[in-house]
Amino acid sequence: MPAKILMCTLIAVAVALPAFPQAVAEPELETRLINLPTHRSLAPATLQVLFTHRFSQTVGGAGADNLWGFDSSADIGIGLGMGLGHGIEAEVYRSSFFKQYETSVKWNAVRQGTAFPLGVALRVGADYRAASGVADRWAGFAQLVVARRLGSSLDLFAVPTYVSDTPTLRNAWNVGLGASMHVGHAWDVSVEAIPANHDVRHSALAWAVGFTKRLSGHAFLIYLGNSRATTTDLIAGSDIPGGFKGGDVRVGFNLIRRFPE
Amino acid sequence: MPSADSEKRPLRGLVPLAGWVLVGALLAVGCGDRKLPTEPAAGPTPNPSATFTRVQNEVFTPNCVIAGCHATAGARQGMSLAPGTAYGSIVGVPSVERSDLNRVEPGDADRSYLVKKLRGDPDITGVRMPDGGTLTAAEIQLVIDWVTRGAPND
Repeated sequence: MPAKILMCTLIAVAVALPAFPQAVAEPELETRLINLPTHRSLAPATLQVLFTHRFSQTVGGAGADNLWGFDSSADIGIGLGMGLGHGIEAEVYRSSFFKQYETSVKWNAVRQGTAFPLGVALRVGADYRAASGVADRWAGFAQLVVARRLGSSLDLFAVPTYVSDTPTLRNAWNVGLGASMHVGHAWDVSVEAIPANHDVRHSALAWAVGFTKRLSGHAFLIYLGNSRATTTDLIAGSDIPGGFKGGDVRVGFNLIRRFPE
Repeated sequence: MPSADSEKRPLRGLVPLAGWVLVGALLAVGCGDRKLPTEPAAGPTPNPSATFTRVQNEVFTPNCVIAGCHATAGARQGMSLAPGTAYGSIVGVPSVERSDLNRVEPGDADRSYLVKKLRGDPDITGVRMPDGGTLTAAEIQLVIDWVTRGAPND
């Protein structure tokens, strides 16, 4: 059933795409909202370096003795992205969790603008979990990013995602939702929600809030959220080993640098 | 020459389509096919719900992943019990204090040094873990059941 819905979604968008003119006006957005992708892609010949950092202990669990999680270990990710032109970018990302590698290609098929109010991107890729003891190492995924700008400062996102394999599921399906508000002085406030997975025991809604500051070629995001997942399979499956609860709060950050600025 | 309105009309028709596509996607949120559970090891049947996810979530993360103990950076005995690295640090890895034993011997809790350290068996070196406290009997049994199941990464 989910696979059929995914296929219908992709076919409907593919059929509709030729009718959408390419618009010029675009919001100021990164290629990644917090954990979810946006519909934006890197400009041609632009290199992007991404660092993600998620402290493993929760603020409440760590307490003052452990500086509310800052003393704990962390899941660290490093990514390299490159704009290839025609709205296409490629990215390689490595997370310390599961010693996982994620490769992806994103195509910004429709740009948001005056002619059509939606931005649309298609992202496909694969995950490889290199950690020892993992039974199923490979997963493929496909994501559709649908974006809508309201007014001059609010962007909304829906990201239907299919993943072939997660730690406890096959053919997992989920829809991430996001929003970003531009609050001035190069600051954005972003939120994300990934629904709990019906087929995962003790699954909870994954939420995240990001406070982003942009400075020429840099973006620094302060992260508050309950899940540590940063790769597509663990995000969509809502089944990251170790789990999380709806009320957990963890801190972290994303750091982005683009060359040239 | 077509008017601006006539140019926009086909696009307006596609907006509801996109809306329906999105609604269809949202109706199917968060689902998948569960993988079959790992086959239990021979012998006494352990609790099948004793997964590594539970061990990590209920035992390691709240009790062991603390700076200066078994967090990733500077972990004691080089044994990180942080999520994502714990499994590779313990399963089939020889212990430092008792090199004749693995930290976790899949399927054999009595020959797993981690279990001995949590139980405070008399043949351990150093102190019982966690340092400064003890786990409940249910928490220790969770670890034992997971090891007895074959210590799968599930």
